Amino acid sequence: MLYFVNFNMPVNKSGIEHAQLKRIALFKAHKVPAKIVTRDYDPQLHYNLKYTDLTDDDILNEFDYFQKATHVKTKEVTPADVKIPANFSDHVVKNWVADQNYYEYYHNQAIFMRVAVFPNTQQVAAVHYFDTLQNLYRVDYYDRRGFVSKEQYYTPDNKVNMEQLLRPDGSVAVQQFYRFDRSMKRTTSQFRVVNYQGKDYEFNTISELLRFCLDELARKDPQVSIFVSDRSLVDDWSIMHMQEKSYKVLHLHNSQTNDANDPMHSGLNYNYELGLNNLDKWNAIITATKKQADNVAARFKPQIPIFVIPVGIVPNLVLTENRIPMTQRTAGKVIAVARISNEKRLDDLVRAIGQARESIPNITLDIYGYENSENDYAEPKKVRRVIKELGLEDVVKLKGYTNNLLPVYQQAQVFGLTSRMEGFNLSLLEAISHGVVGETYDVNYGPNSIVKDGINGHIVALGNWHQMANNFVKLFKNPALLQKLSDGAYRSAEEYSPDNIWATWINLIQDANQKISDN
Amino acid sequence: MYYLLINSLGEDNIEINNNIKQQLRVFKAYDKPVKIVTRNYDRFQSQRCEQLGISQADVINMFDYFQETVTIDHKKPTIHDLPQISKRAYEIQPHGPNYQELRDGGRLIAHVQIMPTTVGQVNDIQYFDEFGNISVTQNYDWRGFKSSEDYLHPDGNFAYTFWFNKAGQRVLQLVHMYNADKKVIPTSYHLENYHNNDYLFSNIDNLFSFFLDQLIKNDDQATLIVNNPEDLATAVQSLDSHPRIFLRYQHLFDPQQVITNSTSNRITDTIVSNSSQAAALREHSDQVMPAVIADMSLSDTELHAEYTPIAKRTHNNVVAFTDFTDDISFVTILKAWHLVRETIPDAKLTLCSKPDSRVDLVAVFKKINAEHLQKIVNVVIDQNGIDQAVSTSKLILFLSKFAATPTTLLYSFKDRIPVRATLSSELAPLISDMGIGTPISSNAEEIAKSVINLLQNESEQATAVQTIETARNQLTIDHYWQAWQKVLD
Repeated sequence: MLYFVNFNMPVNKSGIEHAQLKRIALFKAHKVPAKIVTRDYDPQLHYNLKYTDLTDDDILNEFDYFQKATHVKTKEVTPADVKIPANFSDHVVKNWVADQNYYEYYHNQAIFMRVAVFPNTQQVAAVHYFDTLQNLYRVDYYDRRGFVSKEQYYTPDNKVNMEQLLRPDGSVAVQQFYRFDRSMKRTTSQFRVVNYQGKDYEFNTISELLRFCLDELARKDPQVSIFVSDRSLVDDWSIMHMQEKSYKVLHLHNSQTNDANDPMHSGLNYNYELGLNNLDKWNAIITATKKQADNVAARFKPQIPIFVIPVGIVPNLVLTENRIPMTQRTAGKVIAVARISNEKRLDDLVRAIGQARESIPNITLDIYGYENSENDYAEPKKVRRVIKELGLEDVVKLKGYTNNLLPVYQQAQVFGLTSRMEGFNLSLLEAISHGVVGETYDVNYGPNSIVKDGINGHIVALGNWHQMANNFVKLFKNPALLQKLSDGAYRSAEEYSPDNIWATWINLIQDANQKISDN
Repeated sequence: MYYLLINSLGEDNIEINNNIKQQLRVFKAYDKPVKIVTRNYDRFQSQRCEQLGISQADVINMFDYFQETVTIDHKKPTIHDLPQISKRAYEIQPHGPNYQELRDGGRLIAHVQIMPTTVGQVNDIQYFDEFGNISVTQNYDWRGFKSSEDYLHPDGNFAYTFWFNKAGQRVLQLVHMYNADKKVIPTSYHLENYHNNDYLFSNIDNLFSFFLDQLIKNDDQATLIVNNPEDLATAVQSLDSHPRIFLRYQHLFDPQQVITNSTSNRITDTIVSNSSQAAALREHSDQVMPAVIADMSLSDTELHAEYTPIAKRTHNNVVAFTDFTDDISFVTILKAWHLVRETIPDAKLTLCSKPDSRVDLVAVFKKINAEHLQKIVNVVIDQNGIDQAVSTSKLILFLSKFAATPTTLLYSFKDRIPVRATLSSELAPLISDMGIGTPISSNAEEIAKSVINLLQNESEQATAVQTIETARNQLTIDHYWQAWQKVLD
């Protein structure tokens, strides 16, 4: 079994989650067992699977595992199902607080309970319990499938003191404590797994807990277990410290160095520093491009294989779809699909659009992606400021995150990418697979592999947005060139066909089977 | 059914424990259906029953009731027997007879305290995080099951206690949070899934009321005899059901409160220990007409038991029941003992008291040391210590107002030991009424004089013993039952 380890599968997904989804689809198509393993507690995890093609069989959360809640039939739990203290029941006043989405319950004018519901439903999300002096002392969180999955206990000063993760039968599966550390800072101080196969276990950190969970998965797996670290900062320690026999893979989803364009000398990307400094604890490395594999091999000289497995897979359905000529798309439409954060450097793209607009009056840019909240939304604020300074309010639109990009790709003519670094960039691959022409900085890794200069777009020097602007002008003033590059884009996507990608995975699986059976 | 209500059978309630043993014995002797009902959580209650000679079948505890553990097999698990401890993951390190540790590669995972007087039976297990904070303390009942868990707030204050049933399911929670003055106090009891319902109570009184209502809901003959009424009167006055309720006072700590409780229309009658207590209440209020029963009886066996006559008690040992919160009587007896020693140099004194959390025993010993009496004056606050001290003494003194109850006089009646009580003692009128002594003044000189007279004068001793022999006739179980019958009928 292959296990792809991550922190969660949220509604707003990053490239790593999208890569995992495509990978699972590929493995399911080839009937090779694989699962996404998530580390963090999420009462809506299974509900949110409806935004993906995943089923409960395709994903395993570590808390669900200990809670015996990997597969639970959903049932409706409404506020009427929540027990009101029987000694209060005659004199209870119930209020709906619409802006908070909860009901309040009073007895003798004192609040004793609040029942929150999931938005636009009557399904209970949480129950807040108050003592008889109206202190909030406990909140029960309901899993979206209709059972209390977490009890959260509070301190008198309203901080979380202790949490209990419950099984659907109400028994305690995991306890989590919050105490002062040695510098008197409140921190997660312990995890206790309770009555797991009849035993209790203590762990200092969530990484230790995840290590235990992964070891248990490996121990019970009749096949060779392959663990892929997809979110290094979350899972690399746990995988590296596993005790059960398994094949461990470090997946580099991004540049391994801080300066992606100085791979031999730049400091290491903190996400991968631990993993790369412990290569003897891994069995293999995955990179998404050959260029990155070469750079890693040159600098680290690993004694383990590096598999080049593009994280993007272009489905056969897309490869065979009807091609949409440029004349049927929105003239002058440039798109970017990226979260608005510093490393994406979207202000450069805006500037390029501003310059190109002087020659191409109908050029427009739509940016799809969520806004990074870091430093009080510094980067989104910066991008908006540049839009305003250049008077591009009617030209550049921030469209937010969307799950449905197909119509966007089908109407766009050019995809712009101005990042400082990349690990692959799935969106760019998706764009070219739908015939969108790529205009990208010469950025490691992914964009300068996906875009082939003069074939399906252009590669311009890092930071040279003037050149990118010139390319926009050249493309939009030359419909034949635009169509030629679009045709090239459609063709170049075939490199990422399911069969091609699957072949690279087969190599890794064969290596795993050989190495583990050799041991 | 008669229900003898009491806070607990714990060691800190030794005085009332002896009273309730008297009550239980007489009700059982007359085939009356009776149960002792205890309120406080006490995971050692079954051990206390063994020590007190009370059958566990005669006792029902509120927490046991909700935990469904009123009757449960007695097991004696050691840490090695507990299935949840992974011996594969953790090392169990022994540290003598009192505790063990669970360690993981040297890090302390848990401290395992062993039940006193047992070989390895688990008392409690405290789990620690890596910073040395206690995460949870698991408390085991004397009968060998995990009964409760304690959790702390990060600042070390009590946070929550969970109680469990036999199946390990939580049935009750106690929450400690801020009161209006931002002090952390117990603020709520949350009873869970009791007959499929949840209940929320603001304090233990409300919980106890609910429990009593549940206990007697099918018993239209229920009669509650409330020992510890100082603590339990509030709860019994709030019952939804309407049993007969008798408030049984041993002491009049707060006569006005006694009157307030006694005049509640929920109370059937009030019982005090002696006629002077009754008179004192009547002085305060003409609405209270308390009955008088002294919890004092001797079975046939006890009446005919062998004893050591005073003539054969060769040492000049004296026992004094006192109350260490009463500073004056404590200072007075030490002063008196200096005077006694001037005449009888080998006279030794044992000061007996019930355990009292208000008393700083270190300060008590410091005072004794300051008087250079540490080799002459001893202090005991436990049942065994008291029994042992009395067994060799020639005289029992009752010094302060709330030092003892009538049951304490049974020491005198069993072993024919003369008694003397100061005027301030609540027992003085009873001792007078029974003709076994006259009250003495509370000053040191009078106390010393009385002690010297008795210890030096064999004829005085013989007379005192004779009056005790005579009074013993009033202490048959029949007599005692008649007193109860008169009140209950």
